[in-house]
Amino acid sequence: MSLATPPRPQSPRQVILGLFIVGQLAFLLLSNLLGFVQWFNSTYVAEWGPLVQRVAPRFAEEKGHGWQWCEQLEKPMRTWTQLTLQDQAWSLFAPNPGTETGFPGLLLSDKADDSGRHNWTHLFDAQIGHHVLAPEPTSDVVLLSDNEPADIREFFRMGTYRVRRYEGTMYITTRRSTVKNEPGQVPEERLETPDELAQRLTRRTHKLASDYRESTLAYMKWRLKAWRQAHPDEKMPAQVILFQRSYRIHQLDEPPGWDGPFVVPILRWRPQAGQADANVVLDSYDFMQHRFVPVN
Amino acid sequence: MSQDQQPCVVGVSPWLPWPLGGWPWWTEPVPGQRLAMLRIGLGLCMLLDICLGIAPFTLDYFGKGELGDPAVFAWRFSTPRSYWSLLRGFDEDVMIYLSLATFFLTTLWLFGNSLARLLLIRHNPPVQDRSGVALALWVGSLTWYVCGLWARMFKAGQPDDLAWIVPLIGAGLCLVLLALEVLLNGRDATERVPWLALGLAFFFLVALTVFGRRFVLMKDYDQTAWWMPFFRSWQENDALLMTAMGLWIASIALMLLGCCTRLAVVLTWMLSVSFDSINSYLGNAGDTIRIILLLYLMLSPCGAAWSVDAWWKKRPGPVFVHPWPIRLLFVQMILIYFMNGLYKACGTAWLDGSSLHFVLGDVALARFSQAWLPLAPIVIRLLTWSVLAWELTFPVLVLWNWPRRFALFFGVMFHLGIWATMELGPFAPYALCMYLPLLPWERLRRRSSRAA
Repeated sequence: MSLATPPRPQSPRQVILGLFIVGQLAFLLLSNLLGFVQWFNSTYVAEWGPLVQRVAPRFAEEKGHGWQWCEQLEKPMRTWTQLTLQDQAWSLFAPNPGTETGFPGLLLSDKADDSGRHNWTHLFDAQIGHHVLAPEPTSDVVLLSDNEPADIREFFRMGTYRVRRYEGTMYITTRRSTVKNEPGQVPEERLETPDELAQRLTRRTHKLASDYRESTLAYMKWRLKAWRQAHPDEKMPAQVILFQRSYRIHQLDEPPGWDGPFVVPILRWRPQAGQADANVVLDSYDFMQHRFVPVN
Repeated sequence: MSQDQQPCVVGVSPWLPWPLGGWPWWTEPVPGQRLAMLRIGLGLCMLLDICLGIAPFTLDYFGKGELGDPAVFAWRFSTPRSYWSLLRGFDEDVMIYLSLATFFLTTLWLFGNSLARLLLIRHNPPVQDRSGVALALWVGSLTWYVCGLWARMFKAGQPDDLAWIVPLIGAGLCLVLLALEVLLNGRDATERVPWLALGLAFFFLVALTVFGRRFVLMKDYDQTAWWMPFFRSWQENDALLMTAMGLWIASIALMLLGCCTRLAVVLTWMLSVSFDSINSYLGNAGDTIRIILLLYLMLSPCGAAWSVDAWWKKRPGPVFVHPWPIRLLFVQMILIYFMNGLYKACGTAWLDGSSLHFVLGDVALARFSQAWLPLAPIVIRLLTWSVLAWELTFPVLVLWNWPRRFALFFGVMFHLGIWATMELGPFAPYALCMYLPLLPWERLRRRSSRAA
């Protein structure tokens, strides 16, 4: 008979800590893996879809048991991610960095205008996309982003990063994207036509005026407030136009440098004294009609 | 080694199932200085980041009518999302449910512990595991819930009897818990009755009941009363928002010094999540790393060495801690690099070697103009491919000693390179904090002991 004392049982605290460690380990592995699998499946469905379908039936269609299990697993992990704010989306400059960049700016205009049209020349460039050219000189006030260097060939930056992140939420990709041709057509891929690009840009500006209305309006109000504090004698502008100044980064095989800035209108806000935020209607720029249209 | 110099392992030893439980990498204690250095490094980075990059712009970033207006991020706090922030006010739905869940769990914990010991007192009872933290959490969560009820009542302008009934139930439960403890003491005199803690909790809950009753009898709620902003979103009141920011900085300073370390790290974590949640457009992956590091520090004895707490306790021998936070952090690190590599391998620019050209040429992100440092295309390509290769092979390289040293050295250089060439805020400093517990800081102590 053994006289050895029985091992001390684990205390609840030890068990709970152990469960946390195991759960966190599973969370790390699964959320990263599932995130990648779902992203890959939706992004590369055309290239890899047939193989995925053979390996995991109906997975490429985002249906079937495998997809359903992934979604069921993802739900509690998403809740844990949000409760502990440990987002597992690790993709710095991936899968590709941007080949163009840009900064938002505001144009403060005294001219009351209901047509939504401006005296701008509309241009299209195969590499840049759609942009506008304003006539010079003008009495309008232009507020550039604090992040935009006065000279992109001569600057050093320290700080100002957090506002740049905020400004990034309003960024629009103006250059032409690659789209798939109809099955059987050669080549399989081509660049967007000017009309397709105009439609995509219009959808994006509309989204900024609707889905992201609060954040874009907050940014415009914040910049306007700072300007009015610095210029207390100036009257409230009739129109505040949010635009983007885009720069194209030269390709690696081109001489080093940038093209730009190219001005792209995004939104218009017509401030009225005493108007509640909930009643503000933003006008998004329509690249087909070349004018601002109200978004309700 | 004398009795005084016996090593001491601080913290809860976790129960780990196979294979983790039988794996020394997960179970063998490590010097406490490793976690201490993580705490100190993170505290320093946070102090600089918050004091220079966030605090001076508190009202701009989080205030009402500014970039972080409560309406801008209201979507984050509505179903089905579970983001939370202490600064959104007591009556925010998710906070009400979180406080309720914490209250039920801690009630189960407290009563479960007392009942189990009472019923099994003569039959191998479970080890004493009553925790003062559980009682504090229990009272704290109930208080938050009651304040939420009051906030709703003030907003609606309608008295609600729940405002005093709920704290009264809490006070009653407190008495039941006290009775259980007294019974336990009656059956086994070695069981100590926590008179002070339970007494304080009882009187606090009675005070809440009295206040609740008084609020119900008031019927007319003056929205301009000096205390009313306390029950609304703290973002709506500049003074409260600045107070919260001050509290955040103070908790970071305490964490850095290791003074009341556990409380300081919990507060730092809660305020970090709270501020990050009310304006999520300001942060990047560096801020996510900060929150993850704080989560592990909060649950581990990171004040066991090189802290005011350790100096106060005067442990004579070397201090060790259980390795799980450092191991989880290492797994996180592997996943960060490997997943980055995997996503990059799916892009064309990383494969053709042009990626770093566009990254460094992005005038919105670059620290200085690319025109100042024009690199030859072959150098750009080699740098791009080396980053991709390092990220993809990181999980394999760390398996062996020398390749691990190379991989970690490359990682440090990678982050220093990012910091020197890109303005990504605190991303590089927070990422470098992950490397701190991997260095043998305990040798500094040995060296100084030898010198003495």
